[in-house]
Amino acid sequence: MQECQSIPCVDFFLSLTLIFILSACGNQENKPPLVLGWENNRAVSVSISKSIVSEIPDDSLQSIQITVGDSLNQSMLGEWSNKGNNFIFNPIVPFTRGNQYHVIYREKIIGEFNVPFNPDSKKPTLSIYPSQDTLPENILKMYFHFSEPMVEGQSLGHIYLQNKNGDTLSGIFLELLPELWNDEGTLLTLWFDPGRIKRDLIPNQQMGNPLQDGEAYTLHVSGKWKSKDGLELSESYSKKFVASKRDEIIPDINGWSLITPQSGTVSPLLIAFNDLLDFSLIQSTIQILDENKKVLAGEIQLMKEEAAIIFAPASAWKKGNYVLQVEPRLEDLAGNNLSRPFDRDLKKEQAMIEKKNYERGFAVE
Amino acid sequence: MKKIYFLIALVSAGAVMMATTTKNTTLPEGYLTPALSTGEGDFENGTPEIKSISALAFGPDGVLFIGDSKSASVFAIATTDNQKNEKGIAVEMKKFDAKVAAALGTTVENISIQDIAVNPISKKVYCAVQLNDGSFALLRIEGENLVAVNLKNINFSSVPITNAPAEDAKDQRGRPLRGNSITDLGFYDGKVLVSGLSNQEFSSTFLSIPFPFTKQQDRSSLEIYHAAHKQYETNAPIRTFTTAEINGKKYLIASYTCTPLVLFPLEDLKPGTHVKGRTVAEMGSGNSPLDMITMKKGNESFLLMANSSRPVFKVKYKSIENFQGSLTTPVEENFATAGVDFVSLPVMNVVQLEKLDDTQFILLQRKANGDLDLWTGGERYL
Repeated sequence: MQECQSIPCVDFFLSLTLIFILSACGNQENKPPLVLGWENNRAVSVSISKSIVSEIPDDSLQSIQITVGDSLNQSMLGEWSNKGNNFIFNPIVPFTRGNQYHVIYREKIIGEFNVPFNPDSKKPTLSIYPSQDTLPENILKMYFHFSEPMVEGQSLGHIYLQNKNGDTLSGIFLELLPELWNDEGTLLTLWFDPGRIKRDLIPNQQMGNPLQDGEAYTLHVSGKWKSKDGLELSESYSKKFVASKRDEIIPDINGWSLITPQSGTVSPLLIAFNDLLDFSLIQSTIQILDENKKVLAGEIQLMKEEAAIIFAPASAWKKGNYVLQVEPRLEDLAGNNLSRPFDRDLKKEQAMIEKKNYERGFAVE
Repeated sequence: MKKIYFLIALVSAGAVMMATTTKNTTLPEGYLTPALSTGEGDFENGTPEIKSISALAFGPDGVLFIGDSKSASVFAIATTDNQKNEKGIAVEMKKFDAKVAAALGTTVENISIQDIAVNPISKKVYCAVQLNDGSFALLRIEGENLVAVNLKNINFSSVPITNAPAEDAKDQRGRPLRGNSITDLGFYDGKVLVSGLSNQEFSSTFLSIPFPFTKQQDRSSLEIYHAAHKQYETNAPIRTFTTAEINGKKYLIASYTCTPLVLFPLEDLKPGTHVKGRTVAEMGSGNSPLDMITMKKGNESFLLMANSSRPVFKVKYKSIENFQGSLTTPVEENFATAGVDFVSLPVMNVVQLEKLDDTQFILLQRKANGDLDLWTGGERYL
């Protein structure tokens, strides 16, 4: 649904979004000369009153140009249409909030308008995962979970790692283009350079792991990082941690501790891990099945330092047998998953068991 | 209808016969893709529900493949850009990103140039752009101007690249954090090849999808592994790839995120098999390969590779042919790389690399002064 806001009728928009500066023949009808059209909170069109461009023949709409900021020589791409007393311009992508635009005819600026920042925008906040303060020296990735969608493609300009002496370390993270973001633009996955982690590759032989066992590090995230709405992070963030020895052991669900609830209640099932597991995969790969192997509706919640989860069922537990089912792609912090280690040593002939899912039964009394 | 099937067979046969060493395969002149010209097959007329553009590649007869990470699909759109040109017109655009941003009514910090593709028939240059607000644009370069490529009311077809999670699974987990990114797209031997990265697990995602797309999709998901010196093996994600014929055999040439360059015989890429690439070179650390193309000079073929933190590498296919090893034992170090010899071209910070015609290629390069320039390289670099 497209909604048009007659900007001069609304004081806020009058002051922020539109300044009509010059008219070729005046605004004789006292109607708003330029009106933004909005769709899903984005400005998708501008309507230009014919009163300011009345000498333009209806079939010569292309002679009006819309430009952004100082780029007066580059017309915006879009489609023109002719509706009643207005010419309508639909750019191929929405106008950008915070920018100023010009309407140009015969090399003269005949109007200008601003598209306001979203007044409902919030400053983004950040959580960094894993949240433990001791991490294996062959840790493969970190997650940066923001409260708002962030500007993408600039992560390594904002994230850096320092050693205990305060020296910034180079060549730690993989510069990946495009970056790995979730669809919402709120979760960034950043890989430590896998060429340094995988044993026997030349970078690994020459430089070793990005992190060294026993060393202390501080990860910094600049507060200058902006959200897609143009607001900077609420503060700069840092995370101190110590590297521990290499983790080459695949996670085993039989080593997890289960605290089962009572039947007839909606008390959560607690699953405590004996391994440091991947923040994102924990939430995506674990499910509970009932006796008929049907997936049980409910919600998974992470506990402190991703050491455990609780599963809260949507309805009360029934007495009987259940199955904890885990997809093999669940990884620990070093990229070892349920089926295979991150870099399998072929000489040790470690078995690579490809299962569709890993399962473990439990009973509710 | 028989005629149509015959044409499909011809198209497929033509694609096989004409398979070149690039991602873009040109069909013999006069061959039509019937689905496009008649509206038959799974092509339909309408407006494709594209949600993002991550990668571009041209197929036969002006068909442009669009890799859409957000909707986890590949779209095939009929561009109708079928005017044949033997030679591409060299493109030179300084501050390309600023020009693109202005044409989209925004500023450079709000855009990212996702991919560049050249139509092998017309030699026209296409460019995919993502904006920070989630919108996207597909542009074509016409002389010194940028024009918007129409994506409304066109002939198109599409194929999903992931299995949608079951509804009950969705109820429980929601999978709010999952995202798969299409990192490269190519067309070879009648198949669309797709490489991808997950934002969760470290694993390879590589698909081979026959084209034209059908409802009964024969989609092969390939498990690709990388072994270091025959001792350590990872299920390694591919970042970029190209295809080539070496010694009469068809190969996929891929580069992993850990930068080794590997060869796979295309005939080995079968679903359900544990495919291991032959590593022919290691290209150094901390570097992410960005683009690969195949160029020719005289009778010699070259692989050009753009990198995130290295210059453009040039490798002679003859060296790859002659390198019969597979880095199976730790090599004597030469401190930077191992395997086949390659030359670093004096061109740094190239973020996009695409073949324009047999002797020219397009580069999108971040210059020392911060400008992002689009320019055309020629034989002197080969």
